[in-house]
Amino acid sequence: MTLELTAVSKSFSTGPAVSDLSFAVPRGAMFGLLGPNGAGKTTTIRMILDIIRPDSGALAWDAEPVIDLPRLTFGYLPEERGLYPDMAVAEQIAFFGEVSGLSRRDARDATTRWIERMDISEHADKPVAALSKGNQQKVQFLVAMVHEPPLLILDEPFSGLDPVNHELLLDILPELQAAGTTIVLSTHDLEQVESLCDELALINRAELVFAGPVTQLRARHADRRRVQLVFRGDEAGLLDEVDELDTRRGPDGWLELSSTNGTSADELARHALRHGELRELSTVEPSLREIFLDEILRMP
Amino acid sequence: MRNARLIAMRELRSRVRRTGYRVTTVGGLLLIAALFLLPTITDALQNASRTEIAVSGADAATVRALQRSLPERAPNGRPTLQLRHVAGASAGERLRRDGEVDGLLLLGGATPRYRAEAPDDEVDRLLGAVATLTAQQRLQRRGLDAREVAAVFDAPRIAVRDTDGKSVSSQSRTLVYALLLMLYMSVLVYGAAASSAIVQEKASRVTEVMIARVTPLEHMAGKLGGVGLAGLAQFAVWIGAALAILAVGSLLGGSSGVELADVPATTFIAFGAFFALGFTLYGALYAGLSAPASRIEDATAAGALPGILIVASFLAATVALGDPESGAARILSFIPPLSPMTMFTRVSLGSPPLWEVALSIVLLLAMIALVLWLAAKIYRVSILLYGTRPGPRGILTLLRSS
Repeated sequence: MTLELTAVSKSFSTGPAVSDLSFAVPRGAMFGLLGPNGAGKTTTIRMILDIIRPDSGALAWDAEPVIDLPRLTFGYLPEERGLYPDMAVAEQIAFFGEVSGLSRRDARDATTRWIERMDISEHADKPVAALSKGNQQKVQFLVAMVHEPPLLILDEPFSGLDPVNHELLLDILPELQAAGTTIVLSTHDLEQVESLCDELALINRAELVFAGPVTQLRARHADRRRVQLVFRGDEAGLLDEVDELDTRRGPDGWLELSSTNGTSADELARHALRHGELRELSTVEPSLREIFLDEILRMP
Repeated sequence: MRNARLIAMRELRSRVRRTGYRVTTVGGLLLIAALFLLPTITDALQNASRTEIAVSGADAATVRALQRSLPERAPNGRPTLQLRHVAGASAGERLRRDGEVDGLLLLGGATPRYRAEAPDDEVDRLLGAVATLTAQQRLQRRGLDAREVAAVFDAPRIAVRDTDGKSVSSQSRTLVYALLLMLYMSVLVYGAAASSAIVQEKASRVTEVMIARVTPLEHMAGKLGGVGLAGLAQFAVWIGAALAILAVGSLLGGSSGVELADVPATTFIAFGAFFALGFTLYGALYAGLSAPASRIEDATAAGALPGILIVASFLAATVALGDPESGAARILSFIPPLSPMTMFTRVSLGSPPLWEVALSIVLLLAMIALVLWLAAKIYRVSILLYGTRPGPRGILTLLRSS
């Protein structure tokens, strides 16, 4: 099963929100949906969920238009928390489970199971308003996935979570993925996308900048690779010989150098060894953050 | 449909658990109890001030006949002047002196005598009764038997009917007016409640989570259903309590000014039906118009149109209240925004032909379908709009874009 967006466009009175967007999310993928604020991510998500309809283009899940699919196909965690504040945690999760198509009994069983897994059993009977921000976010996550949908869309799922709960969610997401759930992750936390996602789509100003495997995006930015070395010796001689070296003095007195001018690691090592002693040598891939900024700033 | 039911039941549970709902339900119960028990309390007070008179110089049967000649009754059916047969004048006098009776009536002599510490208006009533009894005895002495005497004194009865032959008591008119007022208030209050429920859910961003699972129509129908059921549950409690008080009161011989037998069951059936229809119509209007709002203040402004229509509907119903079968009342009861209250009044007070009631309901249902369809369209395109509420032109643009 694949989620496919084909030439999707949507405009509001303020202008185009999404323009000619096409990408595919493979079955069972952990897929990142990235873009700066106002890029069109939320509009894209709402169209996938059939909350709003596109002006043109097609959205399909397993070759079937999303407007024809039962809504329980999807699970959705919105960026802004949307829970009934005066409703008890377990009752609320079970209610959304039922609304998503589970029988009352299955909804209760799933709620009990997931409440334990998310470590909020002690809060089961409390109203949501009495919970901390982080625990509310956990409830919101359970509301999104209690019916265990084949496609789960998470908009900033790590928002408000402390490091312990952050790790808990980081454990659960791959579990869901291993169970066959396709997960679309929209977040500004690029480190999370880097560690979790196999593929991503990058949107800026309503247009698609890139869609595909993360490795392919990195290859597109190979020129941003840096060779780094830690050197001690004739520093002036080395700097005269090799152009465009960034330098930084380390705390132990060794000089840390990095090159982004395309000089290979071997070549740089030969230069360094001619002038002194080499302690470390590595090739560093550009971070997703650097690539993101590069892509966004590159646009006119 | 299943989702609308689930949403409605959640809304109902959430509403009945609220303190405000419980307070208004209990407050309403107390008010109803006070209104219906007030006459019984008045009766009790009247019983306490009942005048008891000892009668001597006549046999017990004559005293009973005299008692029957005193038709004046308190609302609870007990005589306001209670006669007690005593064997002799001295026994009666002793009772009077001991304060066990308020007065002593001495019959048997040429002139009946009455002794009391402070003779008051009971004297006139006693005189009337004695005069009637004396006349009856004279007629019997002249050869008329008891049945003939009774026929002479049998007072004519006047049956009050409206021009269509339906009996109308002032009590049932009062009750219908009270129910009409309740209908007006409930549609106004619960329509506005549906509006604020939608905006609150939108403000708390639950709507976005819901709309990802259910269709906007299911969501709107569920919200309306839940709020409407909460209203119906409250009225069921109030009306049930009122009926229970009336039934218990009449079993105990009390009276609350309204006789259960005077109120046809159709009045209550019509109330339930026209509340459901009226609430659906106005609730859908409220829901559609307040869906673009994201603040309660904006929703209140959006409620101006249905509010005006509800007031107009109540005014139209007062026309029917004056004369349920007048031409104006008949026309008004077919116009859908006005018909829930006007036709309810006609059904309760008049005798509209069945086809008129059926036509009114069919037109109302058609209007409800149209308003629901339009409201659902507005709801779908605007339920996730945040910020300034679009005006009528903005809503039209949204509708065109959908």
